[in-house]
Formats: sequence, C-alpha cells, structure tokens
Amino acid sequence: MLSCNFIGNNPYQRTLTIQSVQMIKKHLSLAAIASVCIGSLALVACGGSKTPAENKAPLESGASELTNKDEFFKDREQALKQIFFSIPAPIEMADMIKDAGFSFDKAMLNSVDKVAKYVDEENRAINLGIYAADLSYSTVFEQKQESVNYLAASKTLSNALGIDAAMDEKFMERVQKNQNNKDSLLSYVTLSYQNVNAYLKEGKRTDVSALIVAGAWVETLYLSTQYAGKNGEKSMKQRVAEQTYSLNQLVSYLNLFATSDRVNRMKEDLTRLQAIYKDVIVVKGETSVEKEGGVTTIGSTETVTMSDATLAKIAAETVVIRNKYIQ
Amino acid sequence: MKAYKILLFLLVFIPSFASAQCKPFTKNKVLPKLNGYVQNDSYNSAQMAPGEDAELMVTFFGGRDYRLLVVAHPILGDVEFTVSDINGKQIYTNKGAQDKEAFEFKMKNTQQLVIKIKVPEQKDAVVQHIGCISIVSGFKQ
Repeated sequence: MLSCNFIGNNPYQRTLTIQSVQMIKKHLSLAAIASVCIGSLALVACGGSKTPAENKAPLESGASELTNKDEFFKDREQALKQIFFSIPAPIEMADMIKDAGFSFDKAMLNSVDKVAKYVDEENRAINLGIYAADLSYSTVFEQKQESVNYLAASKTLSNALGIDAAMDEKFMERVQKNQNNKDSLLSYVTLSYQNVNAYLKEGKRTDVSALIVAGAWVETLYLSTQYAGKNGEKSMKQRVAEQTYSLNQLVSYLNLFATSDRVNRMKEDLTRLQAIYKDVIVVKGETSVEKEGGVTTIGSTETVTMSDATLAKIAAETVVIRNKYIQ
Repeated sequence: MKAYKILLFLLVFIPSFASAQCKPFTKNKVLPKLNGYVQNDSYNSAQMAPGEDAELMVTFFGGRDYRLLVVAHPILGDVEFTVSDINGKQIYTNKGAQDKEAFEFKMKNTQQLVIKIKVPEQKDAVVQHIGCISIVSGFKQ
C-alpha cells in the first residue's frame, strides 16, 4: 500500500520519466509500461531516498530540498512572470455593482445550457472564465439556485479541462450543504476560482489559466458596461474607465504566451479594445500615504476619466468579443 | 488498448501532479489569514529559492479596504516584502513591522501598486531548500 506523500517537483525524477516515455514509445509492451508506471509511481509517491531535510519538511509544509539547480532555474524569470500575475477577480467587480445599488439581472448571463457546446480546450477555458464571472455575480447578489447552477457548469468545464480535482464531489457537497450561508458560499466561489488556476499553473498549463482569467475579465467588463452610465449613473462608468489598468496588465500577461495561437487570438480581441481604451484619459499624479489610528490610507492625485461616447464604444466592442466566445 | 492509454497517461502526467506543492500550503496556511476579507485574486503561489525575488502588480480600487498577505514557508527565513506605487515610491515595508505577513490599508483612489518580495540568501547552508510563497489579497465587503 502506498502510504507516502507525493514528494513533488523533483526534476531528476521527471527527467528519468521523460526518457522512459521515449523509450517505451519505441519498444516496450504493455507489461513493460506497467512496470515503469509502477516504478514512476513509487518514485513520485515515496520520494525515492529522502534526505533528512525532506523528512523534516514533508510536502504538506510546502518546502523541499533544491536538488537540481539547473532545472529549477531554467527559464526562471519567465516562469515567475507567468505565475505572479493579478487582475482583480470577478467577485470584486460584482461586489461593486451591488454596492452601486443595482439589482440582479439573470438575462445578462451566459446560459448554463450552452455548456455542452464548448468542445475544444480554448472555448472551454474562456467560457469557464465567463461562467466564473457569472457565478461570482450570482453569488454576490445571493441568487442561491443560480450560484449552484453556475458552479455545476463550471465543474463540467473544469472536468473537461482535466482538472476534476479543482471542484471534486466533496467540494460540491459542501457547497450544497452551505448554500444558505452567504459567507460560506462566497468563500467556496473564490476557492473554486483559485483551485482551477492553481491546478493549471502548478500543472504547467499557465496558458489555459490565462484564457480563463481573460474570459472572466471580459464577462466582468460586459456586466459592468450593462449598468455603467445608464440614466446618468457615474460610479460604474468610473469603474469601467479604471479597467484600463487591468486591460493593460492582461494584454502584457498574454504577451508572455507568444507561441500560443489560442492566447494570441484572445490577445488580438483585447488589443482592439485597448485601442478604444486609449481614449480614456489618465492624468498622472502623486501618491500619498496617511496613517491615522493604525489605519493606512493610500491616496493619489491621479485621475481617470472618459466620455459617454468612449463608454459606448467600449460597451459595443465588449459585446462583440463576448458574443464571439459564448456562441 | 484502453489500459495502454491509461497507463501512458499516468506515466506522463503523474510528475505534473506531483509538482503541485503550494496549493495545500496556500489553502491551509495562507487563506485562513484573510480573516473576513474576500479573496480578490486568482492564484499567486510558487516555490522560491534563497536569493530570489519576484514582483506582482495589482490594481486596488478606490473607496475599498484591503488586506494583503505575503506568506512564506519558514524554511526561507525572513522574506522581505514592500509595496510601492508604479513610480517606485515605497508605501510599505514589512521590515520592523509587528505582523510581517499582513498589510491592511484603505484606498482613496483606484491605483496600481507593485508588491516586491525578496527571499534572503542562505550562504552558509549546506543544503539549500526551496519553499512556497503566496501573495493573496482580499477586500472587505
């Protein structure tokens, strides 16, 4: 019985395994594959011969011995840039829509009935992001049934993407049990979004994670533009203008995946939007920091503004991009 | 043939699953420290080595309260983190701070801030270790 923990990212073991795959592809029978598999499982599961340091710092603790520096530091700068990337998660924009006093509108969301239509990895990833944004919006507005429906659709797509563990049956059962507790449901929603991205980033599928984040951002912008500026409304219009920061960050991030055609397709769409966003006026300013009663307040004289015409162009282009992906 | 494919799949993908090391660290050691704040980013955790540094640019919205966490595995020692504006003006450092992992603040206006982390060197260490670092932020509802 294998009772050891997975020892993790040991590049030496990985090199051995890759060489084994190449050899197997050429020569070996099913029985030989089974032997190598079992060997590989044993190596990975039990960690081969552990050093005392590894025994002191098992996998759960998040540390291990640096055994192969060349492998670890290979393309390191690029790898860290692909991991450390942040634009606000869809839940925050949904919260700001609610804060602005707007009400829930189910008609705006991408129907969960379409989930079976998304059959390739690119569409699954982007629509998983879109559903994640719709899930966040439904949860913030305390639409329990919608939340459960969008979580189920997200689970379907994450399973199809091979990341079943991100939202396993136990996770779904806990969501069902806690669906009447708003705070619990919110934490499950944010955890599911994090889990999906965690599994992809740690499985070295950062380009898929990038597509999910981009899909979520497009849907969040779409929802925001549906409210912004209506009847002289100002707060969401301001938030849409401020998305210029996130858009620039997102396009820069997608540039890290220049060899990925599917990421480049998304980047082309966002670049069109970026061209419209150039009409958003950002006047640079000075940052100020105040500390009062132990509370730090960060301010700036920087301003971000846009005209109604620019908002209308952004809203129209966002619809075009969104429609392309949700079909 | 089906068994062949399953075995080959296991062989190729098990090492990738095995590299998933920081997820449990983030879930068990970091997220509980958000303490009532709603997480507002995706996943920014990685194993880092002594002497390494990294940075993350984050947009924080005006009129909102945030809690920023930078939590490192103890094996890495005292990881330094700073928060600056995009012009490089330093707003915060955890050097000398009572809580070296958390920074709470209010944003008056929407602004991009840059979080920089620096893992100390371990020059005298016979065996070098890598450890997880997670950067997580949350907003107050």
